[in-house]
Amino acid sequence: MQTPPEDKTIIELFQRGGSHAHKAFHILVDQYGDVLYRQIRAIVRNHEMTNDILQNVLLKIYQHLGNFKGESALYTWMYRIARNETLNFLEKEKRRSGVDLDAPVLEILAGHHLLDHLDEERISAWFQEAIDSLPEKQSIVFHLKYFEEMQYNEMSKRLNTSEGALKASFHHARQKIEDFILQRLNHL
Amino acid sequence: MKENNTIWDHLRKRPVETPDARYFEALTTSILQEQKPKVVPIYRRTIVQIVTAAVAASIAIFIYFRPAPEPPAENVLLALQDIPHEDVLAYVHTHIDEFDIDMLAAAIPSENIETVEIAPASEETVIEIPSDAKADINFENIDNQDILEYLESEEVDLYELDI
Repeated sequence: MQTPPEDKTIIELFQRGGSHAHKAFHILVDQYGDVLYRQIRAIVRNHEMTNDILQNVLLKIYQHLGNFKGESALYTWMYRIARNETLNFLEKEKRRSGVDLDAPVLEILAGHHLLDHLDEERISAWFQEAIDSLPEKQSIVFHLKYFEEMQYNEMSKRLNTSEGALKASFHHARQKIEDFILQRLNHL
Repeated sequence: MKENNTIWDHLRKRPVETPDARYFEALTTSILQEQKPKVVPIYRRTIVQIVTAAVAASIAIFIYFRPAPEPPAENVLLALQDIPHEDVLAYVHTHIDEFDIDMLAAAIPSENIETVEIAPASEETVIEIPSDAKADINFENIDNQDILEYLESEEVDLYELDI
């Protein structure tokens, strides 16, 4: 199995311009397109909207990748673009149609004395709110570990961060999300 | 057990359906198509419009400020025909000293220079201005004898003139 090119290789290829940039962009979408898609879709829960947002996200990535300085990992940079685009889109959509787009991303399994009285839409909304309140790094790590089930060694390469730091980030993120939801549940 | 009491044991993420590779390939292609430089017709390019405007402005300024061309001598003579005869004679009298001797000499056909007899100049020449005379300053209509007499009175050597 062929090893996928590293981010640095993709960026260098892109910055050579012309057909090289096109090739680099194909590789980039090939490697990250599905992750970005799921990141967006986890929030909007609708393919058409996810498609619109992802187009904007990829367009921005294409337009600005040439100026990418590598101050953060490539995925961190793209995650930020996708997150901002999604939140902006949702804000506009809510204003325009008044439709609540927070479709459930979680399913509640019976047996918890507090969760049993809650509907999935509400717990999903709190869950998303809790993720949004996290520091960016923890939010990314949580997303990749919880939704993408990415291995720490793979994540370490993608985010240029040690595995130990990633495990700590995930642990903190998980704890904060739980505290956030419990706090809401206790105030019901 | 404490572990069993965490909310994580009672929450399960819903799977997110992801489109297949063809979707991402098509999306990539469409974005790359959008990013291709658009062909702008030459007349719509900004630089062409600026240059065109500058050239047009230069031409307009040149036309507005250029010095009026001097009319050819023939045109001057033709234009003078419209001036009343009295006015022409009055002008010649007033500006007789400024009259262009070279022009007068050039009006005489060269073969006539030696054949025309020049009468002695009178003390004073009085020019009669007929009231019904037509204004015509074409030198062909002035008698050669008159011109030669005038040049003689001015002590002009015809052979030294550049004619």
